[in-house]
Amino acid sequence: MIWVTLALVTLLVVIAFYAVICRSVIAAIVAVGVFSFVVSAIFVALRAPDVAMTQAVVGAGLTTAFFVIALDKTEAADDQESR
Amino acid sequence: MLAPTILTGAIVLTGCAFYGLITHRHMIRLVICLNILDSAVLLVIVLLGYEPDAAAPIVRQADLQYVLGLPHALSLTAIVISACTTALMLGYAVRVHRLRGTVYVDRLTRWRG
Amino acid sequence: MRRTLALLISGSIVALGVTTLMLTGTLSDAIRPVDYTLRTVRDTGAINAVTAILFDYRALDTLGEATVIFAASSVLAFLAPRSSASMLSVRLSMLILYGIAFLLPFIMVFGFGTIVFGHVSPGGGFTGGVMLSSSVVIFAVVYSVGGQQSYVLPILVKKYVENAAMFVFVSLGFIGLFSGGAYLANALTGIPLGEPGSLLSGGLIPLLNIATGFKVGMGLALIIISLFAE
Repeated sequence: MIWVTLALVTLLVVIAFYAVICRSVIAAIVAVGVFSFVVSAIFVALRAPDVAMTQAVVGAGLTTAFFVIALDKTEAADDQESR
Repeated sequence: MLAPTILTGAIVLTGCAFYGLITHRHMIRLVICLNILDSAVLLVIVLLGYEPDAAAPIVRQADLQYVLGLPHALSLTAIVISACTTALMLGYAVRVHRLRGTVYVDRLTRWRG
Repeated sequence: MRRTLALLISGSIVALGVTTLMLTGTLSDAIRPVDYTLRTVRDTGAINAVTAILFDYRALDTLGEATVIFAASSVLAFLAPRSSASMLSVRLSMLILYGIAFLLPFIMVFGFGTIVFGHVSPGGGFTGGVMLSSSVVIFAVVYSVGGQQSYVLPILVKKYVENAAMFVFVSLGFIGLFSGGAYLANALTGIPLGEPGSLLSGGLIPLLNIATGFKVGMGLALIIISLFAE
């Protein structure tokens, strides 16, 4: 069990690092969606099924939709520096 | 052993989020970094109620040891509120883009007539 | 320059945190939670302790949270002018249209089930409400043909449902007040708690769950539709 949690935390840190340093915004958004799934898996390991369900639905579903919509609305930015 | 692992992970996530908050200028990326910070805090809050060899707080038998349920309730509230604040921040970002034509924070200081 | 500063600051945050962790020792040894979960069942009749805390002990906080969602949806609706509505500029293929048409009823049924069974299994009003709102949003994204918006319910009906759910929540709280207890009191008011573990148990908790589910679902659907129309 501890090895599973250790692997999940390592994956979490790697995904967060990628979401922070990657160049394109849409890649960061998708990385945050995957990040939320890994966080909800850790919540299951911590015996918190309610929080895990809510985090999976809100973080991976709804917030990703928010980000994609906002990116679509702001895509016609002034210049294509780092889109 | 599980608690120090997750605490270290949360600390590293906080560092990542602060790095992103300082270096990025794109508003949506700033909101992404705030989301990562939020998840790190939630991990610590849920960890506060954890106990090894305890079951999830849904009482099916009377003679079991259960995990503390109060941090779960608090973090459930925090997750939904954070979705609302994310939507609000993104709405402001879209509005700023509509009005000023840019989503980069450092270009907002320049005057555009 | 900026990157060096950022590396310095975040590195010092990590170093400080890890040092504190090492000095104070592990957290799991320090904390021994008192086992009040069994007392929760006796007090409220709901076997899910998290739902019992959210809708019985701290129900006033839940009311405040519903108010926060209401405020956020109001601000977003204020930001978005209704006249210049435009949907996403994406054309979806036939596969996605029919796949979503197959999946959508299951999503809705799962959301309703999560709301109704919130006090006997993981879930509750918030989770189920978010599922309902996501089904509404999927419908609005997939079936908006040629810039024309199409919704499961019209926006005005969503607003009425949200306000009605809020009203039901607030007025359920007065039951406790009129029968001599505190606002939103549950077991003290003499409401039969039922057999713990069955569907009709927990006094007011299932009703508050349903009200919160509709409130959160419609509120988040309004938020995301305001973001669309922005």
